[in-house]
Amino acid sequence: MDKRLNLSQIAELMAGKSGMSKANAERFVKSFFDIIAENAVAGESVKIKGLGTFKTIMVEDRESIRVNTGERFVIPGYKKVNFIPDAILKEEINKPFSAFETLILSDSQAAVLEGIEDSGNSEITDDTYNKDKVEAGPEQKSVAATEYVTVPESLQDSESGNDAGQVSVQEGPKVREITQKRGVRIILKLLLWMLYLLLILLVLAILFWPLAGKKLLAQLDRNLEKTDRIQRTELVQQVSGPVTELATLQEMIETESVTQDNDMKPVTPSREESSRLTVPESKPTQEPKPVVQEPRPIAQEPKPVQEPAVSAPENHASNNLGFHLSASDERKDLGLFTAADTVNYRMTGTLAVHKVKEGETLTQISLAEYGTKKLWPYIAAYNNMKNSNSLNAGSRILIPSLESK
Amino acid sequence: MNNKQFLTELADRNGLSPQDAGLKADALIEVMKGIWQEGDSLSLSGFGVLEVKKKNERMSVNPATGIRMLVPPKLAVSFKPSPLLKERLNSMNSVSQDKDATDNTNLNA
Repeated sequence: MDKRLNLSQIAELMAGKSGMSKANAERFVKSFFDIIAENAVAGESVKIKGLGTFKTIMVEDRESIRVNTGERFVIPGYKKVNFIPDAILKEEINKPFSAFETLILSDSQAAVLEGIEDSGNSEITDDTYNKDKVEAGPEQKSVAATEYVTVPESLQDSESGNDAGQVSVQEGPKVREITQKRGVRIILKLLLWMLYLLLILLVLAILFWPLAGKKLLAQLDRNLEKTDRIQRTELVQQVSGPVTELATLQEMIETESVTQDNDMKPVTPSREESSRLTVPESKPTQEPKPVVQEPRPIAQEPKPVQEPAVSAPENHASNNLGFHLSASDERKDLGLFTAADTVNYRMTGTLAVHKVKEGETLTQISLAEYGTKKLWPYIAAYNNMKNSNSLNAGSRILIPSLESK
Repeated sequence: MNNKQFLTELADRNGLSPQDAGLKADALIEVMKGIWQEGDSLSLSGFGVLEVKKKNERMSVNPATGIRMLVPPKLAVSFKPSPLLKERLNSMNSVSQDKDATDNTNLNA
């Protein structure tokens, strides 16, 4: 790091790389740069592939003002050699910083930055100093540097002559401003990094959004099932309070069958008891009064279940799980409207063959075939699918007919 | 002078074929890149110094649209001509100008 390699060292490296003798390599490297220098002196630009262009530029005469006396004088024009690196070279050299990109600033950000620019007089001199430095070669630096101090004076010149004291007065705030500038720069850097972080986070979020969304939905579904079950068991417990244990057991079995046909439960047509029954289902813990009267309706439950499912569709619409109903009545009889994990099913043969459409998922197929999303695992298992996420459009999958265990 | 002219000139001076000179020039540029990538600089007497410099980030404004942009920091190869080269550059044509300038300053003084 930070070594300065001279001609012979370069020649050595060059000899190692190209297999030339060291003397030859040295001659080659020397002639390489001699040609550039000669052309530069002749005022011609030299373009070298993979490296860049060496160009001679004429700098015009310009006027300036002497520091101590304030008199005008002319800085003579001169020639200088510019080197403009090739695009390829630029890219390769800038590799460590290639992650950075030009940012377009919003007004608020720009306002923060503006603070740096708008720090007044001394700032301007600083700018002019930089400009001078760029324009003038390093040899001219001393001249430029003297100007640097001169310029503020020249600005005052129009108002109040030249006073050496004022120059020194101006120096104070300048130093402060420079340190301020440095602080702002650090803050800026931090801001930049935060921006990059935010960007990365955003990209990640966008990338993983569909995944996370699916997971969330699945969790929601599961939670719904859980609360549903809990509510039901609570109901059973409340109901069984006044009744004997044997009765509880019976009811448990009954309600079990009810849960299997959970859509059938609210069927009980236009009976007072049924309306009462549906209320505690939504708010089981807050209803101590109906609890005492409950045993009867529950005992009557099985009856409506056995009734034909004529009025069932209307009740489906108000089903709190919001199942989509497209399946036929006989499929409904399987009791498919419960949560998949409350009842286990046996797969008994093939019910239908489903042709997978573009963009269709197993849950969608399950919804179409059974009327509930929850039974897709059975379809996956029946078709021996290892990865339930990859489904080929156009392929045919078998829909198992299910029978509760 | 373009790349082709440069290579033929280089071949002439070293007694190589232009193709060979092209290969050798590529090898030299590779060597130079390697040096720069390690953070070292090239110093050639009578020519100048070629080194990698870090340019700070800066804010720039598109004068046409007024959009403000933050230009990121970057590394760039910079060339600093040696005093000798500068002298050679300005020795021939700018003598008269120099004289003018000195005359001017004398007058002012």
